[in-house]
Amino acid sequence: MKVRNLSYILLALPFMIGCKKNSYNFYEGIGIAQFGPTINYLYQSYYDMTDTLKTYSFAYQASNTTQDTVYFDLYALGGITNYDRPFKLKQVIVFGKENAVPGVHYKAFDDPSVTQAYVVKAGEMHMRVPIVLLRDASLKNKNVALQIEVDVNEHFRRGEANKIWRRVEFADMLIRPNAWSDNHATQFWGKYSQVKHQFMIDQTGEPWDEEFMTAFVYDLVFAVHWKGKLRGLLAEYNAARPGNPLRDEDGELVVFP
Amino acid sequence: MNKLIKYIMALTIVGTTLSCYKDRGNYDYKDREDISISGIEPSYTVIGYEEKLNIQPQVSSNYTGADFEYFWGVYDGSGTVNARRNYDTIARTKDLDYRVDLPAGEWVITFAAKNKITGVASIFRSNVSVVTRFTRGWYVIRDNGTNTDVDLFTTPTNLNPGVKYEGLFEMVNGRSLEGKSGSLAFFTTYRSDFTGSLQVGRTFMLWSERDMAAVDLNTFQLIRDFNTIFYETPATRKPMSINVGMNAIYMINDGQLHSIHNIASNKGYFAGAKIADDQNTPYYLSKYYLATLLHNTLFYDELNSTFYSATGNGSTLVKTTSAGASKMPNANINKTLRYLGHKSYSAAMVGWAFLQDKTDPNLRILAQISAPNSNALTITPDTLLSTSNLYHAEKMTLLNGDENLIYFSRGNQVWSRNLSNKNEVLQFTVPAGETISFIRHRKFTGSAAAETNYYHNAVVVGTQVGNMYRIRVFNKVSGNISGNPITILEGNGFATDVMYMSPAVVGSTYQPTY
Repeated sequence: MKVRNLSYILLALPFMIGCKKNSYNFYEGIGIAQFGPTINYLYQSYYDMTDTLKTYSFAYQASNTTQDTVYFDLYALGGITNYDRPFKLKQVIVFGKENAVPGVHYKAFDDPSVTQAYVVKAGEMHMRVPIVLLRDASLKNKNVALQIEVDVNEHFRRGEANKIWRRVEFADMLIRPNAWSDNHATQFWGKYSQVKHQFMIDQTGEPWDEEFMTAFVYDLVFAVHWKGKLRGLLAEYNAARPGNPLRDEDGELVVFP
Repeated sequence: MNKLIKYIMALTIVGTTLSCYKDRGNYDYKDREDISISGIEPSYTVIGYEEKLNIQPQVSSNYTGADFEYFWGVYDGSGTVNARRNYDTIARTKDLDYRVDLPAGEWVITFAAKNKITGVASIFRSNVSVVTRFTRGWYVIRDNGTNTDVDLFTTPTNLNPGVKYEGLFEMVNGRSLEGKSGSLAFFTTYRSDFTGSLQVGRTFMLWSERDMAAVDLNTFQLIRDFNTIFYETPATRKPMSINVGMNAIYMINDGQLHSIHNIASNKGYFAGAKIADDQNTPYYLSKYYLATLLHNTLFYDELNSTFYSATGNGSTLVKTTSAGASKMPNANINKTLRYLGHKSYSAAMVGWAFLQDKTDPNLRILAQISAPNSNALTITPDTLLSTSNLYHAEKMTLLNGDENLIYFSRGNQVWSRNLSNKNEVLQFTVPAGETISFIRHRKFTGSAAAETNYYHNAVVVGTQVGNMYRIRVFNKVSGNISGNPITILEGNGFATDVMYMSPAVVGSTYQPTY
């Protein structure tokens, strides 16, 4: 009897499993808006998440720069249309981080000066979403996080859960670029410090910001090249200051692994 | 019960009503349309970027009044040239007149004829072997005293030369390399965007004393030269060696080591020179190296008479150590490295070095170097007697992966020396008036039927006769030169190296060693 019950359960199991709703998005009459990689890496799933988190610092800009723009790539799935389609963004709170304040640290998405930018143009399926960052005095001492999500409106519904959000962390001081990842810290750049970061900028004339360091994600030999160059420059720097090698803000020797 | 009977009756009525439907089916059957295609060969061989495919197929249908539309397409049959096997439409006409601008490899062309009236189509496939003038033959790198170029000797039926293309690099690229001849190497792991997308390709690296070129073997067109192959072009132009090691391509330029870590993401540019250490201690590497498949490549710093190793992704040279069994230090040995080569690229790291003392040039040592764990060297030196021929050696080459012999030249003689019992054998005497310019062990073996006439395991002796080079390719049997040369290559200038190339030559065919 027990065997028969077990047989019934086994017979029923595939049907029960088969009834599980899958997670695919199907076209339901309106488009789907979601973020993605830069268009040259579209359809290469390896790069899907490379642009999720960006960092930005006003420290690289002239002192009279009051605002700057970072961009994320947005894709409209479900086909193109012959009319413009506004889409909606919203800020979501990042727990454990200092969150950006609209109107203070960035231009609110309903600010009339930027609302026209949040539109997928007729005939287009891709656009670069501008986020206008404001150089508030508070950014001299802290970095803030702005996490955004695509919100539902009459033209779009939300896309895949891991592609509806993007985050930018920014400040008006040197901050660790996201591309200075833990993996690249181990291989190339070592422990992050503002002293080391400034040394890299001063000695090479390169910005060592997010954009510059993102190139290393796609070309590790380029990182090997810079690592060797930085080690040589640091050796020269320290040799010119016997007994006074470069130390970071925590008093630790600056080294490249 | 009454209800059940009513249901059964209702169903019966519906069923019988439907069964009265008159069958108006179309039973006017016709034969299946049969479209026949002829006039296309099952296979073609063409020279890429040069020859055309002219095909006039005949198409007919057993349906009268057929109105055809056509298309021709091509895709990579092997998936090795174009891994995604993209399908390209090349014509929409019945007759094909198509210049085959495709890289060397196995391709497939398809021809389709579709009857627009019935929608029935027929497809014919044909294999196309695309070769280039540069696919097969002997490549000789040589100079005229001021500039370096390559001569290609085609080999139509066997290793004997057919047509000679003198100055091939200049012929294709409009210039030669500056300075005297260096050497050449073949890579299948070098990556570039030469074809329009970033991918590895069959690449020759040629170098002279002041220039270098990475060349696409399909077209012999320049991919990159000295000014474009580094992230940051070195101030001094002096390529000394380009070779492959474990996971990397190395270039020694002006004694400094550059690398492309070719298992990592890369775009085919050499990184800046590695530094010796965090004190930036000056170094100057010899052109010789000891590379094996599974270990860091070993280099020799002539400035400090010290062995270093290196990795493709490191930014500094790696200090070697002396293993317990070593009979000679690994560093500061006060010797000039006259030769270093390995016994086998794929086996454990074992090589031989010819060292000459800097203070006492009469002190010459043949040393076996082994490094089972990459960086701890066991060096076993053997001081050469001045009565031995090897003591007076000028050009040297080890037999890679074969007999335990080193070949060397002394004056106009070619000798071999058994590395186990030190027995020396005179193998060949160059005729009067010729001077030996290089000797190499070149080995291209396998089991492909198409290559039977081209396989060789040879000792190659290059000589200079006035303003001409002469290269004798000798068959090697049981470690000895056997009989007369299997072929002789002659041309203008001073030759420094030779390599046989065929579609079957792969990256590991010629071991990276001198």
